Amino acid sequence: MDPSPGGSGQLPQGSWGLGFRAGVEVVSALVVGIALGWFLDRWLGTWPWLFLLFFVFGSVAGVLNVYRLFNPRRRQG
Amino acid sequence: MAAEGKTIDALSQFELKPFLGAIGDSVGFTQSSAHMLLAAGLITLLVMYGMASRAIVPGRLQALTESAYEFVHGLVVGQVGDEGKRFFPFVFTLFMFVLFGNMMGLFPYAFTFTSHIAVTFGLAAIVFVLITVVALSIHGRKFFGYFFPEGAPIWLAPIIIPVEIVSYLSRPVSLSIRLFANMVAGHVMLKVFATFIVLLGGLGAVGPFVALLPLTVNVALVGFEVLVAFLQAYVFAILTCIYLHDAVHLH
Repeated sequence: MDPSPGGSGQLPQGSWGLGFRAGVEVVSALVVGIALGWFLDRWLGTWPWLFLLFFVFGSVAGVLNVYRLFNPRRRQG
Repeated sequence: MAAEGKTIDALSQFELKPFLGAIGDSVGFTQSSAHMLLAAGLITLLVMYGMASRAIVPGRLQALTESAYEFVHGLVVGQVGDEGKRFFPFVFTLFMFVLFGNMMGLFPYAFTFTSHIAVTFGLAAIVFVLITVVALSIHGRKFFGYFFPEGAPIWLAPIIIPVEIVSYLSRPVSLSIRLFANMVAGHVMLKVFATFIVLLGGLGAVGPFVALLPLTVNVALVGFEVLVAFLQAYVFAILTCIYLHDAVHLH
């Protein structure tokens, strides 16, 4: 989705590719959060409270994923 | 074909059909599985034949094999470091399999097995299990410190830990959705513009001239798709390396 990758060290950095990656990160974190909450609710019979709680966790994790996309926390060893 | 009944049917290309009629049907062997076998066979042939001569000045096939090897090798060592060398066979297999799946799908009559979320998620799940097992075997119980960064106030734990767990679990999902969505989007676009060619071409005298427009778009799209096919295999491999780096160095 964007110009050729530079060398062998970095992810390709194009605005389209980056935007698409950010979208995918948010969506997948939400999907995982919703799925976890839904299954926990079905298991424990607490519908809809854990679902709502994990919806929030999923959103926060999505934002965290996007944040890490721009500020990778590795590189210190 | 796609233009029958004057409708755009862009999704039937992803349907699974049994391979070789009744034989494939009885064992659930589809054209998707056949293409996976073909990809594995082609990769094996490329490496075996490419390296058969072991010439000092490589021929074309050997140069291709060597550049693929060195490309992935540079990727693994650059991302994971020297400890990452033992993961090279895994990343090389993964990269070549995804690359061949993406590229083979661009041939006429071929099927793109990477356009099925079951396949991409299967690959991503293997990566996920591997990184978790590697992190657990290297770091033992310290692995769980991954979910709670040192120095964070303890009263934040009920928020940070679930968020980190969801973030960790979202890795295979994002890995698989990215590859799957790129492949599906590309093939749907190709099919839609190909249908435009047929539909516009049937518009009487001016038809063939108007149909040149979507034809031009499709020619450009095929070139773009070759780029996407390579790039998505590259992104899949490099993200695997980044996750392996996290697993080996843990943070």
